[in-house]
Formats: sequence, C-alpha cells, structure tokens
Amino acid sequence: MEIVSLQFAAFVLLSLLIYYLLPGRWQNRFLLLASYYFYITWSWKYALALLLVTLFNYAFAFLVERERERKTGLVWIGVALNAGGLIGLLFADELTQTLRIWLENAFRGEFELNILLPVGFGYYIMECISYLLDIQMKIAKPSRNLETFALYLAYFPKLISGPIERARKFLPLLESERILDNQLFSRSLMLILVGLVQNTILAGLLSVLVPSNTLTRPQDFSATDQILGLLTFGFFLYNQFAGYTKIVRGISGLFGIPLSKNFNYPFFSKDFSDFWKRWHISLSEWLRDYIYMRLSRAFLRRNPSRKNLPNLFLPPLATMLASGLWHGARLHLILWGLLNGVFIIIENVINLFRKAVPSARPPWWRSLLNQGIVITLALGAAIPFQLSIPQSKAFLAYLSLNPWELPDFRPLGVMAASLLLDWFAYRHDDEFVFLRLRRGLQAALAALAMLGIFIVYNLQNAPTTFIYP
Amino acid sequence: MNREMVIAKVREFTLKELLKNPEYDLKEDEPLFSNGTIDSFAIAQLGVFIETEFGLYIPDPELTVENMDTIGQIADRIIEGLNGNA
Repeated sequence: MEIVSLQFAAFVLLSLLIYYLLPGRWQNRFLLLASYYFYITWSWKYALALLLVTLFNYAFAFLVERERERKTGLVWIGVALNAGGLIGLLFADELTQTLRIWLENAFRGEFELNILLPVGFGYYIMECISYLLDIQMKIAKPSRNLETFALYLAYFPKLISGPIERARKFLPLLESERILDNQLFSRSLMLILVGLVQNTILAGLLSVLVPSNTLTRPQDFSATDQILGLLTFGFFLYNQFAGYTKIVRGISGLFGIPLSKNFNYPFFSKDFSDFWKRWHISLSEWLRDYIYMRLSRAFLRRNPSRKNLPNLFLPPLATMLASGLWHGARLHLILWGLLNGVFIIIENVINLFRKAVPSARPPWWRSLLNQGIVITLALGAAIPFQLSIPQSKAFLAYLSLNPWELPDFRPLGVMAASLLLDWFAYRHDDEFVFLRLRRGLQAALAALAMLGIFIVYNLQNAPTTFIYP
Repeated sequence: MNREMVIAKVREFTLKELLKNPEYDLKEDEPLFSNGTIDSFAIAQLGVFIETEFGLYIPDPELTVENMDTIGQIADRIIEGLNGNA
C-alpha cells in the first residue's frame, strides 16, 4: 500500500475512526495491529522479518543492561548482528540483481531471482542499534512492555521511510496519554496538505516536465538540458521526500503522536555541514551520534588539538561512507559518500583558519553565494548518487561535448515555486507559518492546493512510487 | 565545585580553544553553535575537555547543539552530571 494513494487515505481514515472509539489502553494494541496489517500489504515476509528483529532486540536489550557494568562488550554483538543483517541483505540484494541481469543476457530469457530486502528495513535496524547503544550508555532503559516496543519499530507512519526515531524519546510518547488538541489537529492537517503539494504537485510536475532519461542518456540532449535535468533531479528528490515526510508527520499527529522533523529548508544552508543538518535530519543525526562523535572523541582524547589530522579526515570520511553504504551496496553510492566526506573535510580545514566572530551575520550576498555553492556541490555529488560510475563519467563527458541551447523554462518555474514555499517558512522561522494567515486566505490556498493535487495526481506520469531507499 | 567556577573554566576553554579570541566578552547565554559562531563539529572537542577537566563523560547523543549551545547550558549540564543526576 503506497503512502500517496487513495487506498492508504481510506486505511488512515478507518484507523483513526476505530482508534478514537477505543479506550486509551487499547489504542497501542490497535495501532500495532494496524501497522502489521499495513506491512503485510507489502509482503507477509516483511512482517515476519520485522517480528524477528523486534523479538531479538527486545530480549537482547535486557542482556545489555545486565552486562554493561562488567564491560564485556556484549552490546557490540547486538550491534554487529543488526548491522550485519542490514549490510548482508544490501549486498545479497545487489549481487542477486547483478546475477539476474547476467543470466538474462547470457540465456536471453527472464529469471525470477530476488533476495528479501524488506522495505523500511534500513530504518528500523538503525532504531534498534541506537536503542541498544543508548542502553549501554545508560541514557535509555530496556522497554518492559513488548507491545509498546513492537509498536515503536512497526508504527506505520514511519515504518517505510522514517523519520528514524530514538527509543528513549519515542517510547515515552507511546506510553503517555494521547492528546489531540486544536493546535495539533490544525498543524497535522497543514503538514499533510503542504506535504501533498510538495510530493504531488511540485515533484509530480517536475517528473512530467523533464524527460526521465536526461541523466541516463546525455547524448540525446543539450548541455543545458543536462544541467536542467540535474537540477530537476535534486528538486524532485527533495520535494518528494520532504513532502512524504510531512504527510506521515501529519498523519501521525492525527493519532496524537508527533514525529521528528526530517528536513529544515536544506536549499538555504550556509555551508555543506549545515546542509547535512537540514537534509534527512534523523539519518544525519543518527550518523553523527553513533559514528562521527564516537570516532572524533577517540582521536581527540589522544590529541585534543583542532589540527589533529586523523580527526580532521577520518570521522567525516567514515560517517559519509556509512551514509553511502546505508543507501545501497553499490560502488557509485560509496563514491557519493566519499565526495560528501571530502566536502566536509575541506570545510573543516577552512574553518581552522577562519576567525570566529560571535553574533556576526554575513551580508546577504555572501549568504546567497554560500547557498549557491552548497546547492552546486550537493547536485554535483548527486550525479554518482543517481547514476552508476560509467553513467556518471558519460554524463560529465557529454556535458563538455554537447551544445548549449536555450532551456525549457517551465521546470525552473516549478523550482522557483518550491524555493518560495520554503522561503516563506524559513524567513519566519516557523514551519506552520501558513496557520498565521487570515482564515479566508488559508481556506482559499487550501482549496487551490487540493485542486492542484487532484489535477497533477491524475496526470499520467505523476509519481506514485516513493523512490528514496 | 560551584557554578561560577565551572562557568569560568568553560569560558576560558571556549575563548582560548574554540573562539581563539581570549579577550572576547562572552556572555553566559550567548549562543555558540546554533548561530554558526563555532562549527558544531567542535562540540566533540568540548566533550573531551569536559572528560579531562571534570572527569565527566557526557554520552554522544546528549552532546548536541540544543543541549550545549551556551556556556550557561554547558555548566548546568556539567553540574547535573557531577551531582549524579545524569
């Protein structure tokens, strides 16, 4: 069951109705059943994998708590089993796909060869690893309630593509009474509507206006089209993923359970490190907390100087490599991770020689220039994110060979609308800024948005499948 | 160790090692990381400083910009840890 579908909307409405008719003590049990039902609509095998991961981590957490004072390192067995499961499945999936293509080419037929890599597996495995490590660090306690813990991992609004929630913050939310007041209700509806505008109208229009093979067949386009294709890909990915996250946050809010913010206007980042604090925040913060900081502190304990070379190079590289691998066990994604790591290293080195000026705000032109550099670097790195290494090479080679022609300006208009939508909230530092408008204007904008969603949703090429890993 | 002493030590470290500006009049509630004065990667340095100076380990997930943005916040977290509340 896709998130942006009428079927899912009906499922949510029916779930909400039953949820609020039930007494409080039954609500979690019902959400757990609804979540497993939702997952079974993808595959019963996925649900089985989730159940096994849940039971293992629920039980293992008690062992970690019992052994942590003895410093036996038991927690690392749990971490290794979770991470190993994820990495193993990622590689197995990749190998199987390669083998399938090879067999199809060799024998000129179709082959059914699939490894079970459950949708959302990468997200709930990250939640399990942080759960065990937080218990080891004594900042979380093992959940005594299997039902609540199972719901923490399976909760359907965040199951497929996050946000990655931390047990120590999310379990208390699940254990507390649900209060859906007017503010949470209106904010949730606003998130769903803005999310649909981003996911359906903006991402949908971009996918309709720009041919999908602009990146993969650069020989058929002009250099300007190639650049436009790259820009479109960046804005499409952002609007689709950020829109999706807003929709699921809004839905979860209607159940009285707020989810974390996953995007914070990344195209207004002041530098590259800032970009990673604004893009896919729940993943970036996870990587920071459990990989970057651990490595950086280990190096700094040996030599606390800011010019400590291993500390300047290795933590950013390791963190971004892990990010690349998390997105898929492919060489081009590892290259994408390396590139991002190198960008952060360069920034860290520049910062060593930059004088810190407290409370100083850069002039507007400098902010704009920084934002331009960040977008250019992020989109440059997006080439090996989306394309294989040979395809990336071809894309760059054709960029210097292809002629420069006047581009189609319509996608640029959609991108400008996307930036304007973000800028409005960014300028007011309030993601719910639309709720500050007069009621009449709110209603008019909402009606316009719904009309737009209806039209674009019904266009033949509107995206229905969420593409982020 | 009282709060003033903790603040003095944190202020000295911040001015000397992070801001590289020992003369600056740093206020107790002045943001350090959230407004970009110091890049947030330096927060690892702060964590190691707290370990060596106060013998207190603050877990990585708690060493965040939200928790440690001003020298007042940092001092409060250190005192809380030294008193065994965290």
